[in-house]
Amino acid sequence: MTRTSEEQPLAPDWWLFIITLLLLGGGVVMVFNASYALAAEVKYTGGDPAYFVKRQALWAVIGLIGMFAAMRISYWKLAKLAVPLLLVTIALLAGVLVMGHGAQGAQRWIGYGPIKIQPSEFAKLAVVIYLARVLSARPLLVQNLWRGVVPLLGVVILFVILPVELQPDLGTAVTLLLTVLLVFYAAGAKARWMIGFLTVFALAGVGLALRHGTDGYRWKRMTTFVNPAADYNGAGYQITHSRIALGTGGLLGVGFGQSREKLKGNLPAQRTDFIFAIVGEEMGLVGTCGVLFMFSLLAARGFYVARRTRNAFGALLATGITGMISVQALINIGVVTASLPATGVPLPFLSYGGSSLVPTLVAIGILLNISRNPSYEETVARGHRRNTRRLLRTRKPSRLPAASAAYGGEDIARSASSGRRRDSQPS
Amino acid sequence: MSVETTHSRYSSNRSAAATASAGTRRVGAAQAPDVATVRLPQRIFSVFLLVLLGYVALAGRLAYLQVVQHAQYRAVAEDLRERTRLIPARRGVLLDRSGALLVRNEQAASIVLDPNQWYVTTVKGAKTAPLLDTPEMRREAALKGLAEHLPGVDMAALARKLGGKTATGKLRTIDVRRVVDQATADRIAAANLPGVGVLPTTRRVAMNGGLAAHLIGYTDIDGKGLEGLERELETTLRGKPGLLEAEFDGGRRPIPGTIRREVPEQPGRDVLLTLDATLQHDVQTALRKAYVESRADAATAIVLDPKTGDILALANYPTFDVNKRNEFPASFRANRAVTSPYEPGSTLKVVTVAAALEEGKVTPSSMFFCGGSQKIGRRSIRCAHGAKHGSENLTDVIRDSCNIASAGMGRLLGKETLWEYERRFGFGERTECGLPGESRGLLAKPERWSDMQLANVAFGQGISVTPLQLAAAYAVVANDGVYLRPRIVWGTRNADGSDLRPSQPSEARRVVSPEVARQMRQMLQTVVDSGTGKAAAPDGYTAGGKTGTAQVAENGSYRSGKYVASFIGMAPARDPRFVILVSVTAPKGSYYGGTVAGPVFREIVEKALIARRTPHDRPSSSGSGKAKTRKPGKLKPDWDA
Repeated sequence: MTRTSEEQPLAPDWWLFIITLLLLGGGVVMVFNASYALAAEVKYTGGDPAYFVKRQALWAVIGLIGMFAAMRISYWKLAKLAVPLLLVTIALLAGVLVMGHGAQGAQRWIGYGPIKIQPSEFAKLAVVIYLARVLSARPLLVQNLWRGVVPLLGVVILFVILPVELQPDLGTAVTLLLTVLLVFYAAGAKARWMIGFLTVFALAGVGLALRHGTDGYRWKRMTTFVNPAADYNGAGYQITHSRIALGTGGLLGVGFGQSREKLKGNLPAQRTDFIFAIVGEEMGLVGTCGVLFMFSLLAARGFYVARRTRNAFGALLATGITGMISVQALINIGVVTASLPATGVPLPFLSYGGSSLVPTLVAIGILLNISRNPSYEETVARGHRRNTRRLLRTRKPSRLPAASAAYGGEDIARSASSGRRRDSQPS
Repeated sequence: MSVETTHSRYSSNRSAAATASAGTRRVGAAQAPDVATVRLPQRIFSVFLLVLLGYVALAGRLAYLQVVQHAQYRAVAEDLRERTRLIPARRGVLLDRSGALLVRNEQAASIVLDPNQWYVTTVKGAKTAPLLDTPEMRREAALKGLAEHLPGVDMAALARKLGGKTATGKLRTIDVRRVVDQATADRIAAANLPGVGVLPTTRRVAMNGGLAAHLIGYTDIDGKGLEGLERELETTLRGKPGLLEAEFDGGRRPIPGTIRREVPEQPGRDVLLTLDATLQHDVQTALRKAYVESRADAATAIVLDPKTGDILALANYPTFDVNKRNEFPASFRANRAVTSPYEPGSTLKVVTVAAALEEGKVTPSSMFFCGGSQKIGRRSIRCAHGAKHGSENLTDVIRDSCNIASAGMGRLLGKETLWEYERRFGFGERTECGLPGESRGLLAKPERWSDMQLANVAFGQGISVTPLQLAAAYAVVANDGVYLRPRIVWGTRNADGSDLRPSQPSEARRVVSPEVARQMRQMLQTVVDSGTGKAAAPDGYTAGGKTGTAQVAENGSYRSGKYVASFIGMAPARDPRFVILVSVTAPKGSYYGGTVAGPVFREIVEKALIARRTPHDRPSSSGSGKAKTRKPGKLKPDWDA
């Protein structure tokens, strides 16, 4: 029972939609809860306790609009946009590096006046779309390490991850890298290659961190989660207070709104990267595990959508989006619980900040659109125009088994590198 | 011909063949057996499992942090949030008998340094001076600024203290200086040094550091009394600090809604002293002159009101400045008037004579004979300077300070009775006047007295007394034979002046009859009128008194050439309003009580009598008295002196 693109799409996945709304609603409430005491006190809010939540609500509305819009745009149209999107992202990242505005020493913003965007957040989505596009159009690429995976990974690392890392935005860079590896693995790359890459990058990271010796900023950040007291005023500060917040929460928490660590002078990122610690302080293990459960449900539903989609691009895109959100949540909570080295990754849906929330909601919108079209055929979406045209022209069912099922007896390397030439040959 | 796809299920065409193709994948695999064909749904499921594994691991980690380590982190959090805070209470002030402020609490500040502040990232965009970009720069700026504004601070020691950490790794806040004056504090606050805090506090300042320094004493840096009345009256002055039991936020303010207990502080009570600041100043001026001119080792003066026992003035030299006490040797801070007993010598004969009169052993008309020396046992006693007084009456004995006749009266009284009278005059026990460190002097039990000691005690040797004890004994004579404990505390009141509570008057104790006291005063007046105390005679007033020139006993033997010259008197002689003791230890040059201490008595008593508007009771040499020649302004306390 397959449907074509001309058919009416299904209703979006309600589970996904409701989980998203619950996380988003809970997030807005938590942002207010975690920030009002601070907002009432610091100067730049003008003493308005709702300063942060007003902005977060606005971002949520913008994000929801983006989500609904993305939900209505047929996702396969993104395949055509994959390369331009990536190029724009690369240009924006280059722009940030050249003329970005600094926030706490990091160069992450680009924009004019009140309109500021954080290209690294959009980069995640652009890379996922691009990889889904390339790997679905040329599935053989992931079968070959040196001619397929390494060049593709190299392009992503060189043009996207490296600029992001240089901002420096280590958190997003790591999220990107892990998401990319997940997508590669899902597309068929060998698990041991991925593990190999992970090892190489981990070693490279340690090597880079040690460039300035064990006293360097990066190395301290990387190791301090083991013993935050050793660098209380530096990298250990947030971790120390985060652990105090979680630890005091206990099983049931100190009560909603009763957090102490959210007050000024304690946990500084209480409304952004460390909002999960406030959840843990106020609602205890029940609250933190509740959040973990919601993210697990989201992952389960997202990967379910990916699995049932009968279109490689859609499936890889859904995998990439779900993987991206999950990786981000895993890293954030890992950092907050002092299980991972400190990296600045916001918790999807819960952390304050529009530059994270809006792209996440747009990504969910794409995911919902994929869920509406589980059986879409990739005649168009495959995007390899000449090939497509040829397929449409011939319309000979007899050709299809060979075309769809096997990659033939050719040398795979040749097939990957010279596919185009081969495609152009009449068969 | 090949189509590039691994994912058979996805590369569909509109044909059932697409599904069928899944089964034929191995055709390709057979041609390229080294490449595995992978099913995307399986891979996606693996990815999901991987993510789920991550969440489960985090849940485990959370369970460990939130349940297993819960108690530990709660303890750390409580430690960080400082559950109880003391609110310091205002310390009571000291006032003189007319309400003039002697010691007050001055607004001051303490300087603290919180090194954690160096590491706090400033709010977005609000970058401070470019020189303060890094913690190291902030540290340097703070230390440099402190060194500049607080020249006395040992910066090396400060830098060493900076490393201290708490269990969470938080750096400890250190006290740079506990108390600085407000001007310095304002300068430091204006300098806006990173991590440097200026906290309000108070410091104890005497209005005139040199005035009654031995009485007032001083506090430590926390405002706890260490010496003098500050120490003795600690419980009254201190008050009770308030208590705030709550959780405190990072900015050290109580978190609303967490206040468990709030006990308001109770300010300490103010203390009114019996001291007369004006008179105290005059006494100090007169005493200092004698102390300097005679180049003495020490000098003491006490003014008592015999009717109440009030200590109106009490001064010692050498003295010190309360506000700059560290600039003076520790020995200068001793309140000799109550802490240093000495052998009073002739001044004590008054007790012997009064006792003999009271006991009826002698009458004012009794006659005595002095041969210059007398053998007692194997040793002998002598009158001073080899004098032989010959035949003399009781008044002559006092006026000429005859040792032989005094010893004779001692023998008439007997050991027990003389000891009893010494006790009733207040010797051998503390006066409990309210000043700390008081000595009880040395008065041996009569059973242990030899005959020689009986004779010695009778004329003031072999017994040691404090100047205050001696003054109180003379006040008995002045107060018609009734002993009153000297006192320094007039009363207490609340900080706002309410609830004035006068201190309990001391128990009156009759020592001799009014008649004996009157006879004694008559005899003492002859000392001033025509005896050894002529130099003490005030202009326009009658006065009575007794001189004393006692040798200083050191290590059990008298030291030649070292005397305590003293004069204790009262005026007006008929109905004394003041009892004044002046003693000068080891004066150079003249060492007679009459010539060294007498003029000091005279100067003090004249000022005291005039200040109290006492009418003259005998003709003044300068018409209506010296009072008119004095400028009225000089009666006021001269704080700058």
